Amino acid sequence: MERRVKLSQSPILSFKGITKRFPGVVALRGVDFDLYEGEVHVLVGANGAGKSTLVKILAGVYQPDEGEIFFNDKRAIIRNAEQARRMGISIVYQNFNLINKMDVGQNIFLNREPTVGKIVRRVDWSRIYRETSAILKRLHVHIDPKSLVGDLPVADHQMIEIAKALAMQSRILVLDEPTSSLSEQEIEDLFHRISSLREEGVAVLYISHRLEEIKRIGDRVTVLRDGEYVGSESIEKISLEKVIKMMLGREVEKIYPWKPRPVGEVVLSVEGLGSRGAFENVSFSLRKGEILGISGLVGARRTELALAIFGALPTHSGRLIYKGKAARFNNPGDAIAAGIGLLPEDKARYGMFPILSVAHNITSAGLSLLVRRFGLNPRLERNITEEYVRKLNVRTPSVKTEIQSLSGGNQQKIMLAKSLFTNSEVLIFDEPTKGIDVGAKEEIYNLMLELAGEGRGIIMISSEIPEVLGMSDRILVMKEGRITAEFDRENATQEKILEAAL
Amino acid sequence: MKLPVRIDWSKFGLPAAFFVMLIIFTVINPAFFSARNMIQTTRQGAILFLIVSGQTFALLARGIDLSQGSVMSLVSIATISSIYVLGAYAGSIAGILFGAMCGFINGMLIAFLGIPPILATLGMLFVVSGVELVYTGGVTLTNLSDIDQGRLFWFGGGMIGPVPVPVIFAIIIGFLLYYILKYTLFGRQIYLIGTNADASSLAGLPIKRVIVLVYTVSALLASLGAFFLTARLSMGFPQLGEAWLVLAIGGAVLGGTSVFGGKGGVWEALLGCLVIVFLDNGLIVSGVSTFAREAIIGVVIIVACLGSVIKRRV
Ligand SMILES: Nc1ncnc2c1ncn2[C@@H]1O[C@H](COP(=O)(O)OP(=O)(O)OP(=O)(O)O)[C@@H](O)[C@H]1O
Ligand SMILES: [Mg+2]
Repeated sequence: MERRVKLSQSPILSFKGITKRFPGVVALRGVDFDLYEGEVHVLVGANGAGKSTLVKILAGVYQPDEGEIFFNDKRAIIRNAEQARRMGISIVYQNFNLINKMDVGQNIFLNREPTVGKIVRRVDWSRIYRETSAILKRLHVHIDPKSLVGDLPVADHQMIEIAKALAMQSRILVLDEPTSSLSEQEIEDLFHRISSLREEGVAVLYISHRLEEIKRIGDRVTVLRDGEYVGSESIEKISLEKVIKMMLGREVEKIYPWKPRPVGEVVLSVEGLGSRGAFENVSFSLRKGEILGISGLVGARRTELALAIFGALPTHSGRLIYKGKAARFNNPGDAIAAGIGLLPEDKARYGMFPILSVAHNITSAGLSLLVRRFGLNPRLERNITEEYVRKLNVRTPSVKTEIQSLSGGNQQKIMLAKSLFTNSEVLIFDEPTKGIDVGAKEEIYNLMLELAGEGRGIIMISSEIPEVLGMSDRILVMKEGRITAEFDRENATQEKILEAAL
Repeated sequence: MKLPVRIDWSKFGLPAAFFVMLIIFTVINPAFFSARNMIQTTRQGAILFLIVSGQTFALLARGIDLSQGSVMSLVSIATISSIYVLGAYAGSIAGILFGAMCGFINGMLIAFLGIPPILATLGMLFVVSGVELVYTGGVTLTNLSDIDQGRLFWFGGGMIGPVPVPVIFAIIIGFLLYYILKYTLFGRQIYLIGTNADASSLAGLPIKRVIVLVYTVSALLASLGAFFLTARLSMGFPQLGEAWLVLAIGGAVLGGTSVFGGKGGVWEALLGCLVIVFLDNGLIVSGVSTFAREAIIGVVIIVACLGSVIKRRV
């Protein structure tokens, strides 16, 4: 791909010495940053480095404590989201901002609905749905503009959020981890759109933890670490290893630290399980100490399978055999009590208690473990949760901090801690490393190996094929609600998996 | 990673305003701070505290209980009617249980039939006041025997040393509620469910059971409040609860309990109801008319609600 960065001109946007503090945290410390028209500028940094904070300052959501913003060489104060939009800034947030009770079209045109009529101005619904269809089609997404957002899976939410930003005529487009839930094809389409916007002279700020994307889409990269500016470099001049070193201050030795381990007897087997409208006749088994990867395209019904095993989705056929006995989990409570833990895919909706503390979030699925003679024991709760925070290297002022004030990746780590807290013998991780930085990924993989080493069975659902290949002992591939292939670690390749998934 | 946590000054705003208010009223009319007035006011405060605490349970679970006022009226009638038959002690318990049962029904409607709390409890409000009016014809129930009247009156109007009996009960119940919310599974589950019901269900929490209990507790506490009021009057008064619903919701929100669920507690309930009761009393002592008083309290409650909405946005 041809790169045409016109660095000779002056930047459309520049941050000078931006500092932002939150109670107990300095999120940004004197950060300088320039964005030019017609470039895709990638911003990287570990979880909690301050990337989303920078975006929110640009969006007018937060005001910087120190420093100045220049827009077209003029000092600008961005007071609120409305003003940012008038300046031509459109943003895809890391945590989606969609309204579940509205349909896709209403969401995309929220607060800027086109109207018809001179005297009585009415919302032009037919235009909204027509244009929504057109935008979605351009992104090759097949979503009915009239379906309720709350009924759609997360992957679609991400696409709608992107469509919403693209629907506006913008001069600056900001994407904060837009691809974390997307399939390869959708990413391809998105990158296509981004490239053509770049040709039109739009300035793009792109944030991602999928570092291979830097090379695919970026022109320049800027690295933040602990709220500080580390450096900027043009893409051709920098290696990924160097970027990682700048992000973490250390090298990542092996991305996938998989080692051969002894595997025990079967702990869970699924026999001919089916759930109406989702999947049919699914059978497989999981052994103690085994990491079983489940691959497939977004929408292959892997999440539904996980929910059904966990008792959160009704099944109409088949059965589970757990520890040698037929088992029936009528609700998640039963599954948890039996020793099954789930890290759900949609962590914001099905995992997080946003206004509650980190500690309360971690313990929410296993409260009875905290009960002592006088009821819940706060000291015990604090000690255990602090242990998790240390182990997973979570960046938070304390375990009493509300989880919503943590960075996206750190919230994900707390969700992982929550699934571990119940001390389950079978763990189902649905997209465990989504939104997590390279350094922390390595730590999470090590933790998975440790858990498997203790004899726990792990089901890892992941859309990242390299991750499945890198960490699984055995791999299942799902397609449209059926298992289409099974591979041993030695026989699996990216091509074979894709072939079975498509 | 340990970093120093800054002190959240906003927590001290309301207590500070409360003390300033006490000083201002004392300056306007020193009788405000007299022992007699304080005793009278804390008695009112104790009753309001019970009702506000009940409402707090519903709000924490991201619900609301609109039937509190009419349940209170019902309890007043039911208590006196039962005392005619059962005597003061058993009759009182029967009256209170009657009220709690309404809450249990609220909870069942919400948890098992999926009726939104605002509608279920509004329906209960109408049913209860209908039943009550048909039963009494709107007439006040009096004519207790002297023994029953003496026993009953002690709960509402009696004193232990210098402290009114309802205040003693409210303090004990307050500690109990604090313990429940903070140290029991049930308490923690209320906060979790009120914050995110979908996540609570995937965390295996017994949502239905908790909801039923929450509304039972809400009605039980309102019933206790009604019982102390009835005891003081020693009669069954069909309009007893009318004014209290607004104060119950207002007091909870004023103290800092969120109408969006998951935030608040006993301390907030206490703070809110102290502000309301002393504001009301201070205005009386300062010679403000009843209507003006209601308007002023209304404005304070609306401002508090606004505050809670704005806080959530930021
Ligand atoms: N509203 C807030 N209140 C308090 N602290 C906050 C708030 N928002 C962010 N922070 C803190 O600021 C720091 C930077 O967070 P930010 O969300 O910018 O990180 P990030 O680089 O986007 O990380 P991630 O890759 O995990 O998304 C974190 O330590 C976070 O806890
Ligand atoms: Mg972020």
